Amino acid sequence: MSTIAHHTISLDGFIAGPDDSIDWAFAFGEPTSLAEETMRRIGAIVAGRRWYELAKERWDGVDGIYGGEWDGQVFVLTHRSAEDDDSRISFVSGGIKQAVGAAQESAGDKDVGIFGGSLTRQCLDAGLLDEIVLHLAPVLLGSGVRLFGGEGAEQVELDRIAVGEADQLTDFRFRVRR
Amino acid sequence: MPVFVLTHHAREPLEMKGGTTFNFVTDGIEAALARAKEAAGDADVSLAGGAKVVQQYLAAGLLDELDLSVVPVLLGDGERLFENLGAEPPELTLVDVVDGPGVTHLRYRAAN
Repeated sequence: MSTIAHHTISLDGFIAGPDDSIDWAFAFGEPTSLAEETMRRIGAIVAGRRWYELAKERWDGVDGIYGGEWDGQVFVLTHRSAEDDDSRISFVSGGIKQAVGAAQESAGDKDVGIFGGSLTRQCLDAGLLDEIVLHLAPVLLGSGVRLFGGEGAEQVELDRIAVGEADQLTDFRFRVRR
Repeated sequence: MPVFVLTHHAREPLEMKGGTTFNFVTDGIEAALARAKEAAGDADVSLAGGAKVVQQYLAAGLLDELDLSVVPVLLGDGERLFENLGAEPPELTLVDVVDGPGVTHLRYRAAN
């Protein structure tokens, strides 16, 4: 059972553009076989509060995940208490380790998906990330939400275990060396 | 091979034993490119960098192609290639992916 950060990323390193836009990500081809395979592997998702607010407002909540193809529990890491009528949403306030642990339990034999730049970095820092799956889009966004780097980020070695080309997207699957 | 070096300090060309000549250009990126194109004739001009120079050419719409090698490491900190690209960065088209041992070579064409 692995934890996987799964994102479409611009060539200049953003997973969301200015104003949190993600429309650009769909302009370069259909979801690839690696995207579908990764979706099928994921049994539960850990996301951040920012993702949650945006998903409720713009992306149809849990029903919008992977275009409605995905089914499972979403664990939202947040410091502020919250409630949601959707039973597929759980709020976790005890930190990244607890959130990943709860998601692993829910995922059973399947893997855990990590959504968002901040959560991906927190997982990397805590040694909780096993894989990074990226769909690299040929676009320069200039600004937005970065997946990697930031204050005090450590060097992390990866092994590229798969690469593929699908239309204008380049698929990468990396394993995190620990 | 002639090399054109962008600098603020004018100096005489420097001829190396191996055949490389360093020409120092003080009147900007367009002038340097014009001189390099003239020297290249029918061949292409390679933009060697660093990052700030690539950014200036990208922002000015003077770059036709990007050849990148993706290495599987997260450095965390350092010099980013794609920054300060202006309001309208060029549109890119992926034209080639070469799967090397560990390294992935990507080629993009820029529409300026």
